[in-house]
Amino acid sequence: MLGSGRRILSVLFFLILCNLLQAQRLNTGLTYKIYGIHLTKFPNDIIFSETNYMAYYIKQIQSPGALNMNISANIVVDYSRFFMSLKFGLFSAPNGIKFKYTYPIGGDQFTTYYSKISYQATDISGSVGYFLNAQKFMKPYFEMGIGRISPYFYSEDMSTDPKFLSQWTGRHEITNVLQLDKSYTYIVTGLGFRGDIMAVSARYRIRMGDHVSYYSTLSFGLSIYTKFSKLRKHYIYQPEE
Amino acid sequence: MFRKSFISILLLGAVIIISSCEDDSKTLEIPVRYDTSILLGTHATYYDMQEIRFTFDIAVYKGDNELNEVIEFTDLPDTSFKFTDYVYNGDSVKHFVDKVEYTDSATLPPFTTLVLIDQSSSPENFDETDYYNLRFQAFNTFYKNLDGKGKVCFAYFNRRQGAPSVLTPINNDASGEWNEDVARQLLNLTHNQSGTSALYDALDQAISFISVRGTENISITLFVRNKDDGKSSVTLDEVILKAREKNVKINVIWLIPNTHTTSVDFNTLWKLSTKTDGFTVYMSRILQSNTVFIQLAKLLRMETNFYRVSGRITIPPPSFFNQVSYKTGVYLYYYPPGPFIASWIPLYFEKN
Repeated sequence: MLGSGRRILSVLFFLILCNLLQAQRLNTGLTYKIYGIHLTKFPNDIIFSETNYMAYYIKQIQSPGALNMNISANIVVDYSRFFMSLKFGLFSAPNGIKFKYTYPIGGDQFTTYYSKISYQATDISGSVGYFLNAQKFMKPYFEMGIGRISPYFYSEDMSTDPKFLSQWTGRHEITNVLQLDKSYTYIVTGLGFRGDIMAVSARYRIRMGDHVSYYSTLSFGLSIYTKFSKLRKHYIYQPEE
Repeated sequence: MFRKSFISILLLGAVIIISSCEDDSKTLEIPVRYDTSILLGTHATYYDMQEIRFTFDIAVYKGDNELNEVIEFTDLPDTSFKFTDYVYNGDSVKHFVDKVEYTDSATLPPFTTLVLIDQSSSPENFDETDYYNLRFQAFNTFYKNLDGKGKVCFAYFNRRQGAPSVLTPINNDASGEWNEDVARQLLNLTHNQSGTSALYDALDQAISFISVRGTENISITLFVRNKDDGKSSVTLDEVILKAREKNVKINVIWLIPNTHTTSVDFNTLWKLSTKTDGFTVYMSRILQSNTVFIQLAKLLRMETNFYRVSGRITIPPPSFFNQVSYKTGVYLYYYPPGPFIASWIPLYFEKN
């Protein structure tokens, strides 16, 4: 509830801001990241429960895919074939990110468990980009930057059912291994195509810092920009004559 | 205007970041458990042809799963301890409970114990009594909660073709600290039973192993499922003699489906703990094992209250008791009459 309020507030704030911005080479936009692949490498092939005294075998490299709800406000400054982009967004994975592990039972049988991670976070990033070909209608570009994710909501459920029709709600088994409940800085690289009013992009962000697991996200998204009107090439800001 | 808006966005972001998730440390839930009793010792105070007087000590723990700890049963009435009288050659063998005292034990110094796990797969395996593999949780609960009470080594035993040794230590150095690699190997153990039980050979090697790793309160805590396979190079009496010489107590935690199974040699298990001053836990359900392992560090220090039960067994002439040893058992009823609420505790009395 609190997260939804913040999200609405931020979007409204941004829309008001868009009208106020007058700089000619300053573009604003909204980006919606639709889908993410969360490439993760766990430190060991075994994890110890954070709820009880069990331990599980886990496949060290997992890349669960999940629907994203990453809405961010963009401010983009263009200069020639370069641009600088700032994004202020709210991230969530509405269906959760699911990781899989097993527990040995009688004989050679194993029970498979799933942990579903749901978190909501603020996502602030800045990047510098370069248009690989500025002549096309949809200009391909490459970008690199840095950002920070700060979760304000985190939940974890566990189930033996991949669809989570029945589950142990709130059972934290891999929180401390994943550390997605903690803020982190990331570096990001991206490829995309940008037109006058829209762009499609793929961004790969890698968590930095001292964390137990390697965690990264490859996300795919769509951006809508204010129109490239009243622009003068090669100048960041030049009033019309 | 732009600058003001930009600063506002930053402030908004800052507020959200400040209210971000925070750590909350949790206490781990201990495994689900049942009421369990631990036989700490037995003693025949008088042993004659027609009468045996005895005492035995039992620690009794509640399987109260509402609490995240194991608590002691403190209010059992005398009538909780029930023997079964029977007729032998036309004469009635009668059991009497004369006195039950709830008493405190003298705390022992820090322990050094070898948890010796029966990893043989036949005739009993864990599939029958532990199909959800709760024993790993039991081991790990004990291991993670040593709390400076002592040091532990883990080892397992089985006899496999081509394997030079029946005893395989998991950690060679006794330690009071939880170690991830040891826990990992314990987890690996819980689903890889194989071979036959080389019980006596394993105990013989285990006594040699653990006796040089401690100076006082040394023990082997045997988690056993099968009787010796008959291929051991030492006998039961030799094992007991060696344990006594080296001051190594043998605690027996046995997990078998029922008392009538032929897979476990009762005579052996009765003697092992009784004659080496160890304790005995007989269980038919893995959920009782959890109770034992949660309490194991305290048990090894004897930090527990217990019931001291004094009683008699009589038989009229011309019948008479075996003049070497007598085996019987007592039912312990945890609650007033109701459904399945008792544990059976094997007792072994030996003439001094």
